[in-house]
Amino acid sequence: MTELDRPIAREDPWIGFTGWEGASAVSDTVETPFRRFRRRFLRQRPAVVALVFLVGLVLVAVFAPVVAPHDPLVQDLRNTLQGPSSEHWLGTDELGRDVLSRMIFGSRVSLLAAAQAVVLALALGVLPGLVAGYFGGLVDTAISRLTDTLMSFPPLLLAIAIVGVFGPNLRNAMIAVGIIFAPRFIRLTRASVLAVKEETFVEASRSIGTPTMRVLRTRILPNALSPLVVQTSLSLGFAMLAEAGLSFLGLGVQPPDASWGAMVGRAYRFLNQSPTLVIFPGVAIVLAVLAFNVLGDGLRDSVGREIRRGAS
Amino acid sequence: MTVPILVLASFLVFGLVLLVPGDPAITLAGDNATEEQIQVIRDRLGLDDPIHVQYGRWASAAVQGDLGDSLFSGRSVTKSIGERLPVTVSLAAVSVLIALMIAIPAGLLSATRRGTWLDTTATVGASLGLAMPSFWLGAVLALIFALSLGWLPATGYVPLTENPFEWFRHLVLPGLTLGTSAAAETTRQLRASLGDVLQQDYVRTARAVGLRSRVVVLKHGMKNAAMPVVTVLGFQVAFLLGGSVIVEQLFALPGLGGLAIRAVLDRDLPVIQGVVLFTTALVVSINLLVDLMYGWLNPKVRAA
Amino acid sequence: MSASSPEAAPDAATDHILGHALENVLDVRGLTVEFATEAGWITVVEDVSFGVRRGETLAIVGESGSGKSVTSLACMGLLPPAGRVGPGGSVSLNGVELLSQRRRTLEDIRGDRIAMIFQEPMTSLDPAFRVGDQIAEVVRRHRRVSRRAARARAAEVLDLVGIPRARERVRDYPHEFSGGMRQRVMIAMALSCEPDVVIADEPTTALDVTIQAQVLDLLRSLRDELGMGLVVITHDLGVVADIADRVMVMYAGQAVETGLVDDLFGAPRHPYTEGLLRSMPTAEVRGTRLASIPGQPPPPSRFGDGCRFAPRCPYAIDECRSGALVLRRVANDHEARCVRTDEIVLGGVS
Repeated sequence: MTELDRPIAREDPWIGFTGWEGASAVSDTVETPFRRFRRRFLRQRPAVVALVFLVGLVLVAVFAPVVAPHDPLVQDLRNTLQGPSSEHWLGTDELGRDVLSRMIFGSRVSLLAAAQAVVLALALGVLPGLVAGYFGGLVDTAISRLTDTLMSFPPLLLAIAIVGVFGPNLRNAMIAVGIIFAPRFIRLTRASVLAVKEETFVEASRSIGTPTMRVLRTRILPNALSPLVVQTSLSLGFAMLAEAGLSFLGLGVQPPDASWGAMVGRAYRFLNQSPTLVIFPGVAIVLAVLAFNVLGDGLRDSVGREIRRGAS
Repeated sequence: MTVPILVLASFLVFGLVLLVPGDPAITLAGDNATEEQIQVIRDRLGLDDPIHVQYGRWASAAVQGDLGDSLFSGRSVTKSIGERLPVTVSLAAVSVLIALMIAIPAGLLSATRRGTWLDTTATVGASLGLAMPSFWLGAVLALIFALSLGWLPATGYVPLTENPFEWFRHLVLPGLTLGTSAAAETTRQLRASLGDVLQQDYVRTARAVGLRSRVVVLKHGMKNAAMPVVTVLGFQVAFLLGGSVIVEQLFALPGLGGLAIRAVLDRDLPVIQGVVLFTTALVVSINLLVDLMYGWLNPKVRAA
Repeated sequence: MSASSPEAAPDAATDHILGHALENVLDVRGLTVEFATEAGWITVVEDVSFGVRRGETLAIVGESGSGKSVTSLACMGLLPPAGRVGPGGSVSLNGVELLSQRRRTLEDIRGDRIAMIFQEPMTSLDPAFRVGDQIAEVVRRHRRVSRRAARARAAEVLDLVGIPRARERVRDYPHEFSGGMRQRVMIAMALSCEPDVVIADEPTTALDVTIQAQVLDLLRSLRDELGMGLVVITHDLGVVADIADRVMVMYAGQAVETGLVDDLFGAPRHPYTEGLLRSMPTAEVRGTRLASIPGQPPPPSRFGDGCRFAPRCPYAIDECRSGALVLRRVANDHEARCVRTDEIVLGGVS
């Protein structure tokens, strides 16, 4: 006798029983990805502070002429290498220029240079990464090998070499930094593309004959976006450090303009007479880079991996 | 993997000549060069030959250890590198040593004491270490330990063979300066990977059979957590060799960095190419070493 | 056998659940476990008591989240940092109280007198060390023997658990073993110091059906051979029927029914046990067909008062939802936590 042949006991309390109220307590609230991101991001106090700081920094850079108490280029040779005073809050440099004002104007150079380098890295990195990940095969192999090779160069040395052949100035320094960062974006984009390439919605889009470029743009790129945003934030910090390093070596911004890195570089020669001259621009670099890194970490923890619901 | 990367790297390094704006010979000779000087450079670099011939000549010489001669001093690039290499290698080695001396205890403590003030200190310290420009950190360290306290020399280099103690004394500040970011990165990685490993089932097993927690963490935890840490350390070597350029400038160490800077300011192309190619080969061989270490750390990789 | 038998024949020999705690090699009384959450400490295991004697097998049964694994980890002193044992409980091994021991003393006992086998054979061995060395490490931790003797012991226990060519395989790494073989290695490691009690947490869940039976056979024969007490934690009633002498059914952090396997299977006294028996795919449930228990068990934050199973219980009445319920003796060696246990008629399997 099989189970189905058995008479169903009418009085069997389990048959047709679906539980009393409260038996099934699975919450069905759906949160949009953006709201989820915002909730998780706002919970990370340090990242929020970093964001506020960076927004403030950008505002200072934009309104530098309004904010700066002095003209950053006006020399006062009777008051050189002064410590902080009520007239010059952060003191004066070897030509008697106001350090605070030079730092405020320097933030323009530092921020803009970092942004240029990262934009260039994105421009050079995203498309090859998309292509390598999406098409695979020989193209992928070629692009990946090139990426591996570029990443084997000591980054700063490669930047120095590139500046060396182009000639030392800020624009070339940032091109060099952009080039050394590009492989990271290639790798990242390629990996994100590989992760979503086989997803149903991409397959579906492809199968109905959507042109490749459109699939890449509307289906794949958005999914690669969050890791790219995170990497962009982290890269801005590193680009700032790279710019500072190159300017310190005299291969970046040229006098009389100054970035924070260039200010430290010049001040190093007066380390004995006026230590604060080195300290202040350095602190500005540390804080800005720290803010980019903390923001990047916070973004990474906020985008996280989505827990996928069962395929339906 | 290693050989193709080196070949590709040599293409790229050689290709730098193509990036020189305008006629390379004119640009490289400088502003006030005579027609004669320009012709000398043209001949020296063989710029009249087709590019693949130039590359072939350069690469086959490089394989035999000849990286050409400086356009300015006429000295052999290989010889110049050889003279300065011990300084840079010493600096890199001391930096890695210092980085490990900081990162291993810091990473261990913060991974095993998650959420305590020790963990917070290590994490914040690591973030700061990553955000500090090395030249600024070096300046601050020199200010404190050399200028104010007078404990350590701020500049100069003494060869190891001459006086090991002075060699080390002269490398402490540069090493600390250069090693800090590597220490920070390694601390972060160790904290993350050891934290991961300590949640693994086999760590629970090790505790369940009564192994002392010290043994669980140091033997089973560390060996399994080492692989990503070694990977990061391998990457760090590339950063260190690049970053040493700045630190050598700062502390007046006669290493490869000074050679590179001088060459860049002089647009001394053979020297630039030589230094970059040589350093890259060094990085690639260190990465090969890292790959070999994987086999010891993870038997699964060995089998594959 | 009738569907319900409150007056089951008294059996003095097995009547030790309530009274004869001293005979138990492992004896747990009033164990409560709490976990730290954002909303404060919540109780995940409440007032659990059980014991196991030498040569005997106790099965702890329940759905995931019932607190059975946490119970075993608490016994071993292996709760994660967020967990703690609540006040008033007791875990004693050979009459020695474990809960009040210092960490170092507990480490001496673990792996020596009490050992544990985990659910995940694929991940429970350290991938970076040879299996022989891992076992020898345990032996040397608890016994003053030479390196060579410890290695020999490792080969010996691997042989004991039925690993072919044990003498050669001590040199292999965990990834060179199949899942079933790895679980044997885990068992060998647990047995290497001949403990008095072995707790096996879902020892067969991750394994193929044919291998499951082999591993259970192995555990049973080793239990008899070495005379140890065995606690098997499982959600699989098939495993219980196969290996256990006695059963404790857990639901939502509480024991809801305890008894001898035959009594409990033949005449369950708690609706949850009945539900579990009926959802057994191979069960010969009299006069019924397969039915699953509707709904989900409550999370620890919503345990609340009253019977925790009531929302999923077809026999539930208003009385079930008010007031705390006690685990009541319903027959010799048989307890149930149900207010209606004497009025309702539940079906079992024979």
